[in-house]
Amino acid sequence: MLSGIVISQTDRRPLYLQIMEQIKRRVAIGDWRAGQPIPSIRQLAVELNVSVITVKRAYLELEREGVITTQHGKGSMVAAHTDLGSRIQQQDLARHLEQAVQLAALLGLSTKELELRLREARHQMADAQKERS
Amino acid sequence: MSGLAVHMEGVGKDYRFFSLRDVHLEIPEGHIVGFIGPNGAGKSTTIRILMGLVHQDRGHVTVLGHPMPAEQAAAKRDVGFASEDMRLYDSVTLDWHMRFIRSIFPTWDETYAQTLLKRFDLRRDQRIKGLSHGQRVKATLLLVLARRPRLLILDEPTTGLDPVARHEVLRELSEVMGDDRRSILFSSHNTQDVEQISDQITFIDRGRIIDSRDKETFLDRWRRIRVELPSGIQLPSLSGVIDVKQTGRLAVATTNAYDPRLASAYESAGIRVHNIESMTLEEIFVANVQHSREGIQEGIEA
Amino acid sequence: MTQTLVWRLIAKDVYLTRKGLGLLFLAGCLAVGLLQRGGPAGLVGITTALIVVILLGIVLPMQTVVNERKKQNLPFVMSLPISPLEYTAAKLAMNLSVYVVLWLAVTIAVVGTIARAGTFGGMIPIMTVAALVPMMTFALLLAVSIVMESEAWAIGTMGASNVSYSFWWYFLLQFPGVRADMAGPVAIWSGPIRAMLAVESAVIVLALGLTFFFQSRKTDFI
Repeated sequence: MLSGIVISQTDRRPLYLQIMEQIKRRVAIGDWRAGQPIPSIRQLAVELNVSVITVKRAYLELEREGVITTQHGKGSMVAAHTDLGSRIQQQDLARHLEQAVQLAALLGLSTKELELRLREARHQMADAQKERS
Repeated sequence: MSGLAVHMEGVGKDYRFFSLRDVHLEIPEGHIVGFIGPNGAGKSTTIRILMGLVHQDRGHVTVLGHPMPAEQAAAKRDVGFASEDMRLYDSVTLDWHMRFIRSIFPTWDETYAQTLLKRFDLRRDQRIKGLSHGQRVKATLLLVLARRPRLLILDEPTTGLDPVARHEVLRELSEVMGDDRRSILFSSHNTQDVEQISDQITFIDRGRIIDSRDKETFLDRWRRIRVELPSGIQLPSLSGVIDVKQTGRLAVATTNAYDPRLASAYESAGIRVHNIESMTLEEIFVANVQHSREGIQEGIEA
Repeated sequence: MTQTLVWRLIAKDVYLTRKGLGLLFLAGCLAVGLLQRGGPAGLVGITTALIVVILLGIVLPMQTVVNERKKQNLPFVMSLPISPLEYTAAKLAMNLSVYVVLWLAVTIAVVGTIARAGTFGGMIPIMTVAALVPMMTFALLLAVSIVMESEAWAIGTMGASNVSYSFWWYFLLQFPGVRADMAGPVAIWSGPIRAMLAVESAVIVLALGLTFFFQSRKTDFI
């Protein structure tokens, strides 16, 4: 099974973080489903041309975050939580909301004004969807 | 339980103008070790000792369980060696070399050899004399890779190769890692290659190993901290900071033992921390060598 | 495994030097052919035979030992499953066997032709001594090439050997009776002749033996 992950040379973040992010993204959007087996550490290392120790570290961190599980002798797989995809997306949403609140504060918007902007954004999205269908 | 593919302990070698001193090197089975050092640091000497081409004056060397140089013939059955100063026979073809190696090593994989010919874009009926430098390097590596040896010892395998060829070679080296019983030691100036595929990194300078650990640990421990000093405040010397460069009120501190408490220590001293940057392996390498040489110099002057 | 490997190394060296060897072999055949004709052609034949044997003694060590180091092929060979001593054995075996075969063929042809002519029997002992000289210088060149690892030393040895040929002759012909024996129809293996043969053989054996000795004591093979 090929992961399809692509590493960027110019991204100055550590390689293991890039790998983690790409795996989390696949899980979040549902490409990699709960309980699905994923490439072993060595397989992924070979596919990406990176060292085994880098992939090992990425997998360890992902396991710690509950995104994947590794069973000795059976390999690694996406964690079995059914809400995993949405959990990652919830984390993303929380981050975006935090950013929105901070920006609103900088602009001096009140909570009511912020709510208004939120409603506007939702209407725009609904309109765009109607146009497409 | 995997063992050590390579074990060097207390190895020393004396020449008239150069000495290798107290070299300790371990390659666990299934690992890739990158060996970095300036020119003349002793990389090639160390590698020659591993291959039994040079006898150490002191210390023990074991390759795939065989003491060297005593059992070098047995060890070399499972070792693939390619060095920068190695040349194939000019007057014959790559095909001759392939058949020669095939007749000696039973592990030769002809199918894989054919694949490598295509990937490396080589023609087997071409005479070595007519090959460019890059093609020769790839031909030598093909002969080593197609045997699927348990241990690969490579002295500057990507030096002088164009980016496409370098990428192909790294890809084949990575593929070796698919088998957890195979190991690689490669020395290189190209820190980017080493950074990408090595599990462990060993730095050597002036005949001494100056640092050797996990790649991820290296990348974690080394940081550049950019700070701004308010007027009248001096930069405190903190343990773990091995170099400071200051111009006016801006300073850059380099540390080889990074801990978030370092940044807090600066901030509690009233110093503003602008940025904490990770360093590339090349930057770590240069800083490491400088630090080591200063340390030795201070030791001599003390 | 090592034995087959040594054979493969010998075969490899023969293959890589095939052109030079082929030419010298042809020249040797020509020499033997000329010898059969006798007379002035026969003299050309003997000279050609001598040149072939001397050239072989140079081409073999230079191409199989000196060039292998000079063209940086040695690390490739030493990456194979052999020890430096096995490498040395393979080199000596290849060089000696090829040389001795050609040398014997040529020497026997020359001596045989002279013996059949009937009246030149007295020349046989001195010719044998003369025939061993190229083998001696070959053994020395081989030894120096392997042990000293340097083209300069090899060339120096060749030069010294070339110069020494005339001294050998001069020295040998000083002995009373040698010249007289040469002119006779019967081969006389006199004291001086036998002493020379012994010295020549000793030099050859010593050169080869010392090669092994020095090679086994080396701590830096490349």
